[in-house]
Amino acid sequence: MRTNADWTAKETTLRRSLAGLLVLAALLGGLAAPAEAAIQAEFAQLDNGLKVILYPDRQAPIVAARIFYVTGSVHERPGNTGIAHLLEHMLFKGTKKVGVKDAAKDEVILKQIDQVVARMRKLPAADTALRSKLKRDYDSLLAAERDLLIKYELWEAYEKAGGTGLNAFTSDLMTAYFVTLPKNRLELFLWLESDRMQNGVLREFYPERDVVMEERRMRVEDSPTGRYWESLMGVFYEAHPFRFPTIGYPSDIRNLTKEQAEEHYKAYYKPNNAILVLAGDIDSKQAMAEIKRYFGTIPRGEAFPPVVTEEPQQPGEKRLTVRKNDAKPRYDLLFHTPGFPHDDLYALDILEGALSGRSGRLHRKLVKELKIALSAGAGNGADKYTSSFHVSVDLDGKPQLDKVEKAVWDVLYDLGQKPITERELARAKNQVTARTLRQLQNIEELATELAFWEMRGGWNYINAFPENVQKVTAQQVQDVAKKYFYHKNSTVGVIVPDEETQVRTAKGQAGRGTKTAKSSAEGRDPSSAEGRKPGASASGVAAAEEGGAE
Amino acid sequence: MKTAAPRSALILSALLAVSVCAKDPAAPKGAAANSLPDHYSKIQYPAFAYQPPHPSAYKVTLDRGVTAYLIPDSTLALIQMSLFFGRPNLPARPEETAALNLYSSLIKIGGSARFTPEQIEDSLEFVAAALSAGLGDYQAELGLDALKKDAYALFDLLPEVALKPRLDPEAFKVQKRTYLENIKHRYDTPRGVMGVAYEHVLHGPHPIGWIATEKEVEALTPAKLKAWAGTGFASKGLVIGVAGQFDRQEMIAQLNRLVAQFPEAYKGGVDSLPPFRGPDKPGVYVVDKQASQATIRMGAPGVKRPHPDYYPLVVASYIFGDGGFTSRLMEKVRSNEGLAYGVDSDVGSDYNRRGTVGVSLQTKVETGAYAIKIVLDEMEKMGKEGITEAELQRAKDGLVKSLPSLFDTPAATARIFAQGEVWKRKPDHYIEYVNTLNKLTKAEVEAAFRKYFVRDSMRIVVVGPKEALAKADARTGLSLSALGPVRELTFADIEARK
Repeated sequence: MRTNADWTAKETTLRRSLAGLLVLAALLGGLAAPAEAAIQAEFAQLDNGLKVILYPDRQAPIVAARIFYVTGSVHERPGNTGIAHLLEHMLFKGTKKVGVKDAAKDEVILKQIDQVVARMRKLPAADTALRSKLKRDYDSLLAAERDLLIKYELWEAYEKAGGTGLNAFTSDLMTAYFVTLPKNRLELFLWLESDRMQNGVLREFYPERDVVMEERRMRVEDSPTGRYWESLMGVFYEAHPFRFPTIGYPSDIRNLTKEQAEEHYKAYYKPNNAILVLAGDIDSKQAMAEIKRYFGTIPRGEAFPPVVTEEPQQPGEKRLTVRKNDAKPRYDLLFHTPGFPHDDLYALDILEGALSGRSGRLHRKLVKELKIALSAGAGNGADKYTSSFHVSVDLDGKPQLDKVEKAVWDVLYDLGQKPITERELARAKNQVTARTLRQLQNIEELATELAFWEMRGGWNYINAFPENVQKVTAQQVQDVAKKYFYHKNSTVGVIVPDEETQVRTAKGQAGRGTKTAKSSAEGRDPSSAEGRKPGASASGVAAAEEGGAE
Repeated sequence: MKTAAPRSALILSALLAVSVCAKDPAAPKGAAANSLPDHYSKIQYPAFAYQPPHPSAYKVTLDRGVTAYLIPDSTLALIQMSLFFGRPNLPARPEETAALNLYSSLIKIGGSARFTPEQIEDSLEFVAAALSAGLGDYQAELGLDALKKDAYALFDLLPEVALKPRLDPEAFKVQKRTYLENIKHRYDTPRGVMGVAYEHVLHGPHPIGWIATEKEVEALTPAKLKAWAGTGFASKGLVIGVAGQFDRQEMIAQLNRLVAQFPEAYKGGVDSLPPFRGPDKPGVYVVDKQASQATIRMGAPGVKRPHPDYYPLVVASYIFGDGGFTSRLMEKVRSNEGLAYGVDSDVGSDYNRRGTVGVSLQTKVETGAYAIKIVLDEMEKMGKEGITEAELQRAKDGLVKSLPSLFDTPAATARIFAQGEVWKRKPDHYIEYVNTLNKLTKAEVEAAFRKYFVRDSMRIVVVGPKEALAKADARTGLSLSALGPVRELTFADIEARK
């Protein structure tokens, strides 16, 4: 095991050897002052509760416009999981004003469709004759309705205005609709989104439910780690609704109803549960006036039940072992940490920095020193309600799990026994400062970050979080490591080869899987697997692509 | 501190410009200022003439004739730099593939002659800088993303890792194990299989698609990689893109110092790509893979850019399947039938070889044949009946008016200009892009579609469980064989190197 003394010696060597080539003073220079990275957004809340965040930035004549509803799978329960996500799909189908040639006729047909579907639901399974008749009725009504529709008119309106990055996503905590527009087309966003907030009509519900099933097959069932992550989250969270997959369980999706989607829409798509963000080439005063004009008169919604379920203290360590050969072996170790805001989360961010990267403690120990892993890192997932800290290790085809686990725990235990080095502390702080600065480059990502911070506790945490991280001491880091990194607070997930199947199929597979593509020499990003993982979950309506044609 | 003002001024200071987003002449007039329009089509938008940035405003010729594009960004204390070395990096023989791939992955990670991997990694991570390096099929690239205060000090590290690789034995072992692990899991996803199968069917065996065997990787040693050391990087044809907070004269001086550290001529490598065999016959190709969905990609030869058919094809594809929800395929396959989450068509934008045109989707195994039939029927229909003026205008609007988002950051602009120079794009490329698209007629777009998106010329590659795919779907009665002769490709077939 590397000691602090070893590391100090290494630093000295490094400084000496680099001095000839690199300007060491710059390399080891002080931290970028957090104030340099401060994000100067403007915040307002309308009388009806709508929160507005504006970030003027004229680097290009475009505006990243997005509206977030503070709802997602956290507001679901067994039986209706996936409803927030399906509703997100449905709200591209139009409103009373958009996507339809004759709204009155459409309303009549929609009611008839609802009646037919209601009859089909009550039908005994054995009654195939009547079911077939009702299915024909349904198909006929759907065809009649389609004659009245202007398919995806909302999408087309944005598209014709030069909208890019047009999409939506649903996560456990938020549902978002977004587009980036040329600066003169901002009013289009305000018109369409204020309309979508009030007048959504859920057309073609059942074909869209099938689309979501296809999405689930793609993201979860056919992903090597899709079911692993889904199951691991169900193990890690025993009670909190973070355990539900945002896309929904297959049996729930198959049984979701239009009525459930309408209930969700009526409950959560209200100005007092929404955050509107504009980042880009805007005049704040003018933009705010326009926002008030379009959204100011929309009435507040009724209060909905809060999320009251707290994740209980674990009675003991938990573990999920998945044996399969068509996924890379991996080891994940998860710890429960407090929901945001909480002072411990700043020190946990330093721990993430100390553990991660090729010069981080995990990589040095597991990859370089013991040679029992291909890569290793950690992540501090600060979330509303309850948070998580995640250690992940990519293993090779013959995983030495006992050694890996011991090595990870040795690293974590060591962090609780003595303070990290000043260099480690400075390195972690430098990375947080640089990360904040880099956030400013992309107004689309920045707009989303601002909304997520507002949802967690206030937009200005985008500045306050890195500022508070800068104040963390080595002693606080040690205290936090001791406080959270213990077995009873941990959940382990592993994917290991299914040796039994390997042996059984070895003869039949000779020659298969023995070659590789040029691009596969590089290590894969372990975070690229689909499904909910600690600190992030989103499921979008479409994988829209930008540019490329030029 | 970040301020809001100056960057647009820089971008808008381009010497040549073209209006792509002027006041909408179709917008009705008369909406009162304080009342809301009752429909979005009645909104009156402020006039806005977008002027895409022009590369000549940022172009600098450095020593040895090296071209650089310097895009200043006074608001962020960062420097982001990309170096493009426009020479192909391909193995001459299949057996060299493993060594080239592993060597490429070890640049930087394997240290340099003077610095260990640990020294480099620790230095970079301490100052939160990122250095990237790699040998691609068509070009090599080096990249640096650093805080301004550290950037110049790190410049010298780029030629150091590129030209004097240490190939550290311990780093070599880790990368080799990673490579072998990637080999074992390369077909974990249907997409992984499709990438190899589609390349094989549409282009045939070629050094670009050659894939190393496990045995070849196992046999590698650091000594065997040394033959590649220093290849791929020279100042001849080098193009640099830089964005960030810098003094122009100081940056030019620093870049000249950087350029001087590269040799003028390339070591090894190839001047041009070996010829391609071309595609297999049209038909259905199945690769057996257990999955709940059939992953489908059909394609046919397209064009090598620049080519007069490219832009009409792009517009046609936008209407057919590349234009998101308003495209025909999205409506037919997803919206009407609920068969797929995503379906889209594409036109390959390739300056180095002939690209392909095609369609991609995933659908549950049972509906694979039916979804393909819908796509082919719509292809045939659009070929026969043509497009509408409304579709044409929507495609033009979508492509032209979205141009401002392409140049959304100075770093993106710098990369676009530098890469464009490697591709030998004209300085007026984006002006011509807008003008060409705007002038395209319905007949030109239809002709391009008919020429390339031809039902009977499609090579339809399907990855999924072959037995289930062979069965007729209970609802539609269709199986893959209804679409034509089906040929099974094994993994060995799609990996063939000759």
